[in-house]
Amino acid sequence: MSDNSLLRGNLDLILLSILEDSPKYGLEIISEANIRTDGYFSFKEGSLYPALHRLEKAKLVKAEFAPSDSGGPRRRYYYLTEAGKKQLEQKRAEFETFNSKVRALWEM
Amino acid sequence: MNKDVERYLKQATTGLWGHKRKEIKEELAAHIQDKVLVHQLAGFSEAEASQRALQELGKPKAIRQGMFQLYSLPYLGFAGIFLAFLTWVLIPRFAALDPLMVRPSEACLALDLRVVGKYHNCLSFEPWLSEAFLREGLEPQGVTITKQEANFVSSYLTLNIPEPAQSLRLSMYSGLSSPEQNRPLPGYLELSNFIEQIAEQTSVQVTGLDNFSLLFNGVSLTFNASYSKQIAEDFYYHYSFHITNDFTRPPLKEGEDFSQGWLYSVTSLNDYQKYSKPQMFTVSAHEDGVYFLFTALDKKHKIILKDNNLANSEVYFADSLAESKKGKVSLRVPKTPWHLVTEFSNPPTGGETILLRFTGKISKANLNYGYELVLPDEVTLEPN
Repeated sequence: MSDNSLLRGNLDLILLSILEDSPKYGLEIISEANIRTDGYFSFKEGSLYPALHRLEKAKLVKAEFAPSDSGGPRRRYYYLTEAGKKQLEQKRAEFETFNSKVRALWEM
Repeated sequence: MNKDVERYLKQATTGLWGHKRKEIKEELAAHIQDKVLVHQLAGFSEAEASQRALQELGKPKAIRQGMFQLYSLPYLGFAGIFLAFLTWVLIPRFAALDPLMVRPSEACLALDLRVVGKYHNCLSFEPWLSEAFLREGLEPQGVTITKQEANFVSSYLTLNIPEPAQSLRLSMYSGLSSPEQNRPLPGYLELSNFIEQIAEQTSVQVTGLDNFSLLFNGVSLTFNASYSKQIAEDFYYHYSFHITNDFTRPPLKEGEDFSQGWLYSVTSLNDYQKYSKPQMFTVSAHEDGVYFLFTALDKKHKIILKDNNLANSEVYFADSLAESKKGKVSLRVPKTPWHLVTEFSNPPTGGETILLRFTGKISKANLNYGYELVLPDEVTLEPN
């Protein structure tokens, strides 16, 4: 389980990274985060949706409804926009820099 | 959908309006349904599975607050305050013009602010009902209407219908009244939101095109005929359904979803063609050939991909491609035979519509629901 403040601080980077490969719907994003990080990132389910809508509003992702294969209500799939892809690259670079600088403090 | 889930969805979306509220509800409903299935597969009863799904989703208040901040309050910056002032001045004047609020282009920004969150641009029509219109239409039929101010953005109207006796509670946007001045403004309600709220509580019929009417609980509301065309467009926008002069929608069945009810009520193509004469283009799908239909450069023209069975049609793709003739787009292509349908509110003249055929390179296959396509720089145009 991650430190919640770390999760919050990097939420955009995490969500954009998960959406990089293919469009995904909310629950898929949650389970992908869980699986890919061995449970390290465990989202509060309800808080995910306002976060996704915030990214949509910022035009970093777009969303479209598609039928559910379980026959229930339609799922809303999110995918990266060009601006989202750029933002992801930038956030990733910032994170790498930060990471390497912090690491440099104890690897002297 | 069980009552707990319904209540949860309502609580999570209270304070949101119109189309956005509907979207968020549907998104959350899909999430809950998926989780319920997971828990049922793990051996829980349906009721237990629902409880677990809701618990895991967290408090509805948290979602509501997150969404409300996004789709309402942040818009009230400096420009918002200015527009709020405009709204405060303009709304009572427009309300006095006509009970059915039709968005005039000059005032669209101010009127947009009435929903606080701004979902529709000025190009789109959004019919609004004023509280005064509801009173004028319903009180002569014996309905008493009481109003309860909830907060500065919303209020509640209770329609007390005498025969058969029923009280219908409606939440509505109260206008940007100023709390300091304690001066309540008339309330407003989007037509689609009004119908949905009524339909949640009782059966509702919608009839006519030239004389658009709503009938519920033995009372009726008839709309100014000059707005019928716009109401019809609004209906199509919200429910993918064209109302016609002779069409009467039977009351919703128990548990039937409102928008689905409308969609499935379209029984034949003729129903579609009676009003707006949609332009139909049918192509056969090939794995290596992709057909796009481009329409005139008008954002009102939506391109909709439907499967072959119109009665069970599902919108797979509704973005306008008018501005993305080149470059990368994502398109959902069902693996079954399909055709493209485009609908026009005002059918364009021949020269404005082209059928664009090209061979798209499939850059990424095996997505959950289709292919991602890269449009080639050069394309072949083939008029239909």
